[in-house]
Amino acid sequence: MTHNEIEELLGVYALDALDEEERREVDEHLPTCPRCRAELAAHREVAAMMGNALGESPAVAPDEIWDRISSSLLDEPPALVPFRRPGLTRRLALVVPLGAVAAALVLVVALLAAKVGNLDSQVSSLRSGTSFSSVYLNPKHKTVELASATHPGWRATVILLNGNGYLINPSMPAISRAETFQLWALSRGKVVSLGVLGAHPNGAAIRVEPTMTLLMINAEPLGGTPQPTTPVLVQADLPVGA
Amino acid sequence: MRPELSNASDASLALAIARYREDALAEAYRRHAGVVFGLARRLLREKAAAEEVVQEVFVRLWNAPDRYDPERGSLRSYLLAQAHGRAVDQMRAESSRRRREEREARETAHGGYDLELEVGDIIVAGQVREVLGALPDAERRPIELAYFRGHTYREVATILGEPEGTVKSRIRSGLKRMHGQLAVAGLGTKGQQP
Repeated sequence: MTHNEIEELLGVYALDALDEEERREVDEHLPTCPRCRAELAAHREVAAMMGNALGESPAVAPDEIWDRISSSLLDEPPALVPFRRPGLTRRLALVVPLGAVAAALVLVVALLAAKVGNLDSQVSSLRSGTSFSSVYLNPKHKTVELASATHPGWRATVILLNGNGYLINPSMPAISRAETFQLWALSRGKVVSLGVLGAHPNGAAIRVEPTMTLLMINAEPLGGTPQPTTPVLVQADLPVGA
Repeated sequence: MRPELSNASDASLALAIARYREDALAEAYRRHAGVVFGLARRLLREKAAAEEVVQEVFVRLWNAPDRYDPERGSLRSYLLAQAHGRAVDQMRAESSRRRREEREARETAHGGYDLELEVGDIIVAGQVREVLGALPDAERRPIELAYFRGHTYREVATILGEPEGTVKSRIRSGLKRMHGQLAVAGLGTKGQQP
């Protein structure tokens, strides 16, 4: 579909009046086109004003809905999306044609995307439309090494680009089955959970906000906790603008 | 509730929700659940179905607070858009569709379903009402059928007996016209029409 054809659909897109297939085409176009995004924002604003002004009145939600919402909330941090890095060793890169590596990455990305799709409620940390390969292969990505002050063997690496991060190569001490590793960040002076990693982490997709200045991993009771309750095992400062 | 939340900005509220503060979600609910419920009720008619939409929207805000981007608009607009999408999904589900079609058939049979009269029912608020009402019929009717009736633009084309291309163009031009007039009235800040 051409830009002009997409543009014609922006009004109906904002009103949720597109067929699924056309909607997908618009979804694919939007990240590449600031002009369409700006027009869509204006259409959505009008739609929101109609929704705000023209709903049934009186606009009072029954109290029992809140009771249902409140009782359904999980008070645990979400599990981070499990993630295994593609095996891009130097030897492999030397002997395998670049096209094959790219194809392997595409496969990994596709598998990862499928996994993410199944874990919608757990991917709050992953910005859609990004992938490990797009971050890893971009020379502008930054690398952060989490390390321990006392145990040189405990470490993990995070690669970052525009707020999208991947925790890779974690090497952590053994913990009991009643525990999980949990990833934390310091943001505006407060510690926030980025999610739990399980007892045997392979890696995870994470979202790093510009306000975050420090990454930390510790071990917490299974399920994780809203605030850290045990000492930090490994940590690293985040680069400005990561 | 901690006192600062009652005056917190949308962005602060979303950040607090991301930190598992249920009182922040409760504050968002206090501010916006009414209009979200009103829109869902408007679309779905059935109270239980509208309640389900409200529940889904706020639970999703809790589970995925970063889906809301304060740079792109207000929290209320975001929640209304979420509610509209979910309500429309429900309307298009087969069973809901059948019930809706039966209801609309009854309304027609009783002589009660007339789009012009329906417009009078749905218009309840000041400048938005005036601006929507002032649109040419050719633009207003497809917008209403799509937004408030949950029809796809192809269905709207069939209902109105117009070509699909005409319908999507008129919806787009109608929304642009509304945006311009609402801006003149001092409403609307995000997004600019090229």
